[in-house]
Amino acid sequence: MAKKILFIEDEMRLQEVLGAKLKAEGYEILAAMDGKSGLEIAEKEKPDLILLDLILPKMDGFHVLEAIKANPSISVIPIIVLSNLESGKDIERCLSLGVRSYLAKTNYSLEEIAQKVSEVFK
Amino acid sequence: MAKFLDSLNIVKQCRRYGVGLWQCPHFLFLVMGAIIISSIIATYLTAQWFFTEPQLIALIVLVVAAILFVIGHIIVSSFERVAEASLAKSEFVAIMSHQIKTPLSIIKWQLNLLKEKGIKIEDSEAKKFFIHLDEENQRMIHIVNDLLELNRIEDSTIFLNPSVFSLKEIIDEVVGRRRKENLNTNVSFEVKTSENLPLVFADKIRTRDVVSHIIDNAIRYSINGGKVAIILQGVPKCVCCSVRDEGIGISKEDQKRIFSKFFRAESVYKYQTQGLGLRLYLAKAIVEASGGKIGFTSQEGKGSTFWFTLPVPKNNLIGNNYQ
Repeated sequence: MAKKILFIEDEMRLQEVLGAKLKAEGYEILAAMDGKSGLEIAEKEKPDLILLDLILPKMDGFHVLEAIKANPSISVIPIIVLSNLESGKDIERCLSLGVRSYLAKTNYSLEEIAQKVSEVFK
Repeated sequence: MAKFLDSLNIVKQCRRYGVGLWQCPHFLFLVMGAIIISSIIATYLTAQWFFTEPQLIALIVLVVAAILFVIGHIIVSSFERVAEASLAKSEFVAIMSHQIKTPLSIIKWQLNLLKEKGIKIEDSEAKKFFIHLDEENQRMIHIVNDLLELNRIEDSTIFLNPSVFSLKEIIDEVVGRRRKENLNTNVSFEVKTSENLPLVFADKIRTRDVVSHIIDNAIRYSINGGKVAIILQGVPKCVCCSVRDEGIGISKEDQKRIFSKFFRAESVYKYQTQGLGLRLYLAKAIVEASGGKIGFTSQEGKGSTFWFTLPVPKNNLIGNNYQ
């Protein structure tokens, strides 16, 4: 069965393009445009991986991360943060909350992101 | 000399910071000095005439102290304003860069996808433009990243992520890529490594940036081609990497400022216009933050050698510590 990936990102065009790439790689994509609905989908669908942006409407990525880690039924789901926030403080905060990797969107090509995703499932 | 005279021109200095004379620290310091000197003389003279009335002397000293206190306060608040302006600038750069990065990521990923889908562009000119789009977008990403890195260095919020790795692998990777890109130029590359070279302990991604900056400079200055020789050797507690080119070299005048922020040598203006003049400044900051050193020697017309060192891991925790 195809692995389910939840992509929480408020930028429609980024959703479309990365979603298309990952679908082509054979994954099932669940999309959320804000932090709150992202968390709800994560609780309901229990995806195999979450790709998370940090600056999000309704509930920011840090709060989503904290809520996921506080909920035992979804706390083990691996999370990759995809953000253009690159301050040491933000990276440290995410790593301390147990994210798998922290990728700056502009510094990675679609292929490299797909590579990182496939590494999670190895 | 001209610079020294310039520094004495208080009005010009104040105008540079965009503040009025009575808010300018340079001018206020001068006023404070004048008050201190004249008050010492005045107190001395008054004390001679009115030595029977010590209360009067005490009153004069008190008044002078009060005036100095007020001036001191104005100076401190003008420094505060400067610090606030610097903070606001950093925040502005951080917010703007983040805003710019979103469309840059969209363009980058969409171009990636188009390339992967192998869209059919028969027209060779259109194909060329497509490649240029990708390259120019990447260039903008580099500029924004450099500005952000500068911001982090200036705010001391740079977050190094050190690990143990092989510097030779990084050099081989960067040189391999540059070899491909410079196939049609007269620049050739040579990499020499001493035996049993230890691994280094530093931020891998940033080290790759430093290596790229220095090798790119060597290529850029090799206007008439020539060899770019990279030598890796162990030195006490460090690994040293030196990059020698046979290019145009750096003039004595420019050598003094080569690691300054936004500095671009005269020769760079003459031969090419790209770049912010940040790369060597960033390279120096990164190498030094990693516990290494950086320097260069250069002779105009003959070429330059840039070198940097990176520390080896303190404890040989990793079994095979050699590359």
